[in-house]
Amino acid sequence: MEIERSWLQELSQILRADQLLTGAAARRGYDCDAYTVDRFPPVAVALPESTAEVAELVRWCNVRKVPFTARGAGTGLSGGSLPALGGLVISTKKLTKILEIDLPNRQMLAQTGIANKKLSDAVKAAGLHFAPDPSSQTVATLGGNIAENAGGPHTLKYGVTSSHVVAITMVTPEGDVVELGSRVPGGPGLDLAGLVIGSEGTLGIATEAWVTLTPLPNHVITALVAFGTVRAATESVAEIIASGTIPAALEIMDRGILGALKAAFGLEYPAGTEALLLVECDGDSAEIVKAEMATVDAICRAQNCLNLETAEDEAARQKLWTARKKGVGAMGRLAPSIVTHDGVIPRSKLPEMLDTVYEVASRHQIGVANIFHAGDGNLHPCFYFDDRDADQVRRVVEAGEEIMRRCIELGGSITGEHGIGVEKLDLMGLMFSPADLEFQAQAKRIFNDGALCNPCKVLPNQKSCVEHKSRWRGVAW
Amino acid sequence: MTLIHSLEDLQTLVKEQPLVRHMSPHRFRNSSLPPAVELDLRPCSGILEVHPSDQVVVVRAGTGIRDLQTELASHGQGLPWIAAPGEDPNLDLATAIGLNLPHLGMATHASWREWVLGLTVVQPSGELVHCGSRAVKNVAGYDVQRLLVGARGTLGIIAEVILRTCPLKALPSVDAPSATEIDFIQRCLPTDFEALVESLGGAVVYADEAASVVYGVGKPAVSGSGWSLIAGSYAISDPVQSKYWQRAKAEFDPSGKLNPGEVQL
Repeated sequence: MEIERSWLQELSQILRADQLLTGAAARRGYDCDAYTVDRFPPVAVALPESTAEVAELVRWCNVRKVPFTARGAGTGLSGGSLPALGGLVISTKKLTKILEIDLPNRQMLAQTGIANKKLSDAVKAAGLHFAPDPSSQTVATLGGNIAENAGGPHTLKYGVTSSHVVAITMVTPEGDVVELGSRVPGGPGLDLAGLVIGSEGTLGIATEAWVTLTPLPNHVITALVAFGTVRAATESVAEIIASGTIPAALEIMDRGILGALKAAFGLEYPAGTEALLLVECDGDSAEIVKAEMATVDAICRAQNCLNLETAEDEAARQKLWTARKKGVGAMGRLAPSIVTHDGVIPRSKLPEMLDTVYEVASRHQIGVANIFHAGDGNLHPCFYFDDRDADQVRRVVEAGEEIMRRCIELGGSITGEHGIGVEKLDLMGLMFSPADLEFQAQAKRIFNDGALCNPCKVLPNQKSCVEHKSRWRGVAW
Repeated sequence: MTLIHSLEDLQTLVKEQPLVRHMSPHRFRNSSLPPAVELDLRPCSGILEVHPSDQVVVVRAGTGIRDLQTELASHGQGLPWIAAPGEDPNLDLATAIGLNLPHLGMATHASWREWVLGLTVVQPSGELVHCGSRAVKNVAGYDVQRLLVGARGTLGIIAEVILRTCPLKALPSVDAPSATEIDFIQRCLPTDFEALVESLGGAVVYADEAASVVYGVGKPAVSGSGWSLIAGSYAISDPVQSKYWQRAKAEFDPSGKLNPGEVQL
């Protein structure tokens, strides 16, 4: 679709010239997010600087019947900000202001294009932080976190985005500006903000949000434990949770990740290590934190860990976190492309599920490395491959679907924090019946009963998406 | 009052009747309501699955909270729920969830919206649908369960619930006040709490400072930063709530069958 000259003239009534990107580079740069298998270019990219500008753009899209898709930093892992039917990408990258910090009430009002970590940085001196911490937090935006209901390593203890965003200013799919939720949560009535959080940008465009700020813990102990088998690591996790101890983080990295870390950063771990388990216990009482870590220590030693290293001071702790924080980036050394899956299973099923992951990858002859939120039962099998090879892409998708089916059989979910996007559309039917999906469609229509606002996401078989799908589906189709 | 003993009974009755009232009588529901067939789901109770190592329980919505807590405790688990003053300690889940009823553990453990991981719901047509999942972390699809918590039974009938549980040692503990009937629950921003308590004076039965919530008799304070739940009536003043509740009603219950008059839109 070529952008019509009259459109540009109309958009120039809303935005300055430098707020509108057109041309081949913009179309290529915004044709996917960090899920790169599926792509489709927008006709233009808008960079509004206020809620009012977003609303004007959305109203213009309604008049011209132009599909629109909101986008933050493009770090999404399921194609949530892929402009599936083209149209306008509405970027939040110029909505980066912190508008109010209310320290006594431990809340902050910010525009949604701000990077997650900047929220925490702004209140660090006051001993507070914004708890959701996706691995992409240095760039991932608050709006993207809201869209995907983002998690992160520490959400095991502190909860996901929906627990930390209390009120949202949103431009509806029709272009109205509404205030959802309340700075005083827990009240009566419909939880409209709760429905919007995690709706993948399909119910409107969040432009501002009040977030809650969580005190930084006074005492933190981090442990990095090396195991000779993945099963010993996963069984340790199940035992730690079953003991009633809830650490702040419980993360596992397997040999595939350790190999990438060695190749990329020269990091070495004890000989014979098949899995690393990172455990963090925190709290305001040193005594309780130490007791929790003693429980963890006893469980890991009973599982015959090869090595257990703990750290309490900030620098030493960060060193232990290196493997976790650099793990995904290091995988760039292994292959040109990575698809990270996001299945969830009951935590007690971790040992058998990991066995399944390795078996499936081996049968499909695909490289797999695992780096994941073990405490939540949230797997991230990372398949590494060459996305220029159609056969490899097909095998990666098929292996992914097989793993997702097993997650559901075990009572889990096809996504814990990355969202459905376009990537997992076809898998929704595995988890929900047609009646269940219609129940969700009813909820969607409360805000969005049209086909313009981030079309073709979350719910399968949407009108005008099925025939279009072959145009954005990757090289294997 | 028609006693409901099974999901099948519930589906059949709901399908046949033009107007259905469900959830237990409660002082925070509207006191004056038009006639409808009254369903009592409390016989439809009991735990379906307990997974202590995953901290998840699947339970029928007619189950009393005290009964659930007793059963969970035998597995080393519990709900972080501490009943408000004057509350029926064995209130059924469907009513507590339908009202998103506040409680004394809110400061540290939030409320039902955080604990409800999934629901089985009977729609006005009698059809059974599911939302959410047993996974403690799940972002697949729209969180319809969040919309139904606090919807006062106007969008669907909650028949089964998947709840997140807590290890016993992580449960909140509060010196609960004596069982006095209360007329309102009011919450504000922490910075407004002192002024709220002062303005309410003798109306305060219990002041939960950690959560900035007041449980009181008589009427709540008129001004204030937050919300209040008042005995006997529920009217929506926020035009955004009103608009989208009407839209939700048009989608989920277009004939107005469920809990008629429960919400003044």
